[in-house]
Amino acid sequence: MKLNAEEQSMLDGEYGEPVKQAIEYQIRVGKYFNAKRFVPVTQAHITADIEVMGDLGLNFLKGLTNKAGKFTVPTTSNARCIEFDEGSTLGQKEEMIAKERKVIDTVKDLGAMTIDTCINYQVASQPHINEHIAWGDTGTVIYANSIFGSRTNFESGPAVISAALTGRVPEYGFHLEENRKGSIVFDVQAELNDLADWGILGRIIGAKVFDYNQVPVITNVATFNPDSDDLKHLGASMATWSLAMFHVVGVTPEAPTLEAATGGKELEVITITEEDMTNEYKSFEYTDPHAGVIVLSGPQLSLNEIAKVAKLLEGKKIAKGTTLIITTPASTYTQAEQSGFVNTIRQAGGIFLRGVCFYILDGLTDIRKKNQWSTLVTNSVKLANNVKAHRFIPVVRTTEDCIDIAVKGSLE
Amino acid sequence: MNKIKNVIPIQKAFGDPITSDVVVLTGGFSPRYHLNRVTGEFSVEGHPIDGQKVSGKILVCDYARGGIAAGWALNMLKDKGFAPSALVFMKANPVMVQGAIFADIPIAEGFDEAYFELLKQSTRITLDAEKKQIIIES
Repeated sequence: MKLNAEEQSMLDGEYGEPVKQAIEYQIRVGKYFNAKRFVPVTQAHITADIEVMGDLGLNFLKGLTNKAGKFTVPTTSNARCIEFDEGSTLGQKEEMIAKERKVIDTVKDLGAMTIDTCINYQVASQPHINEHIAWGDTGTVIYANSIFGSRTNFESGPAVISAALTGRVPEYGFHLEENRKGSIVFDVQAELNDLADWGILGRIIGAKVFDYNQVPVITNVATFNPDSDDLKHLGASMATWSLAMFHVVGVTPEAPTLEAATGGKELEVITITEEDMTNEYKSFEYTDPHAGVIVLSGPQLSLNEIAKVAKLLEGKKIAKGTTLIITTPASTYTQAEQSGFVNTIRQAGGIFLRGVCFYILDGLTDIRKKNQWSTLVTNSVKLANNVKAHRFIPVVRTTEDCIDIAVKGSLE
Repeated sequence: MNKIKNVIPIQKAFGDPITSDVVVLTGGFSPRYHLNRVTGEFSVEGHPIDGQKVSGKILVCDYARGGIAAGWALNMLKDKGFAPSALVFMKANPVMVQGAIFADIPIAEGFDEAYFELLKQSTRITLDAEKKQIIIES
């Protein structure tokens, strides 16, 4: 890789040991991807939680602070694995709660703004078209590339920490114009009325493409006028299949027309029908119709989503033996509280978890066992894609159906 | 199997040369969602390798799944002695690559389905990142 004078100084240790280590690591990654040079980034969004990084990762972060490491670009933090207020009640271990606090304190010492959210694009930062950034969390990455037209690859834990330290990333993948054009077209001949429908659409596309380097182009959906929440569920669902960018013709900034999205290339076209959508919903099979837990999470809920849930729950009660869980950033929770939505949902029996994502909760398998949960109902396809490792039986339904099921306590 | 078929060219690779037994996973791999990081066993209900351990083996897989946490997870798995000795993907993603390089676990990607079918039949392979090739030993 070609280094400029500043990058060479970093490599020579003139910016301190943490920056030297970071750029050495970034060069190894850059070489793997045949990156020719670095590109500066304006911001970073880091993923660091004790459940996945363990003591080794925490010690790595502490090592950076011990050597006076500091992030050089505005840096925010992703959702946590520990709920600091409800963790003990949920059954999360005190030892892990204490360690997660250390992770948060350490990234704060490095200079991170600990907003603890996977929807930073809705609550904190909206980078502009062609802006180079370094974001972790696949859902944030696909949203940034597709909806904002900004440029980032999946930047995993140490990769995005390194980017925050050096203020740059190796230039490969979605930082390069030539990799951002559509490579396959999906012609949608189906109704999309709820964000769960958008997630199901993302699942169908993701499963067919399943390749980080491909960019699906979606046509015939602009008439449904998707909002930010619809698009986040579409993207988050696709991202679980390793996709990092998509175009929606007439909606996303690099796709004003099909020709602009594809670069004028003739591409394979796959039609998605109403039957495909129905079959995908049916693919979530269950044996126990008792809905022990309804989870609205993955990504965390926006204020608009919470408003909708509150409206659906007005004057109703969650069934005995059923738990309704909502995850949201702390800032959104405060806004929802001010708007009266929290009160409505709590009165109905709903539970809020702040600053976390459900499926990365530390000790989730034990939490499931403790509560004797099996069938999990959700409107999030991303969540459904990811909770099977904890032996939940996920079932995807529309938001309205999820609330109806929560009130009835049963899928039937 | 002739000699040419024994050598599979790969597009991208990192790490020291390694020879080891193979464990094959189809349907994608994420160290966060498919591995029990307390026991080191695969945790994919109904999957043929559910309950198996991959430590010390070369994990051959069709695709890398999303899951940004792989960057940390591979390092933690290696520290606990649960990590595969190398990762070979038909198609990887940056998360897996960044995580493998951070953990200093050899990784390779970039070959077609015919080669993947060949690898599925193998029991022991050598990954040579410098030469960008996989050699099927048995």
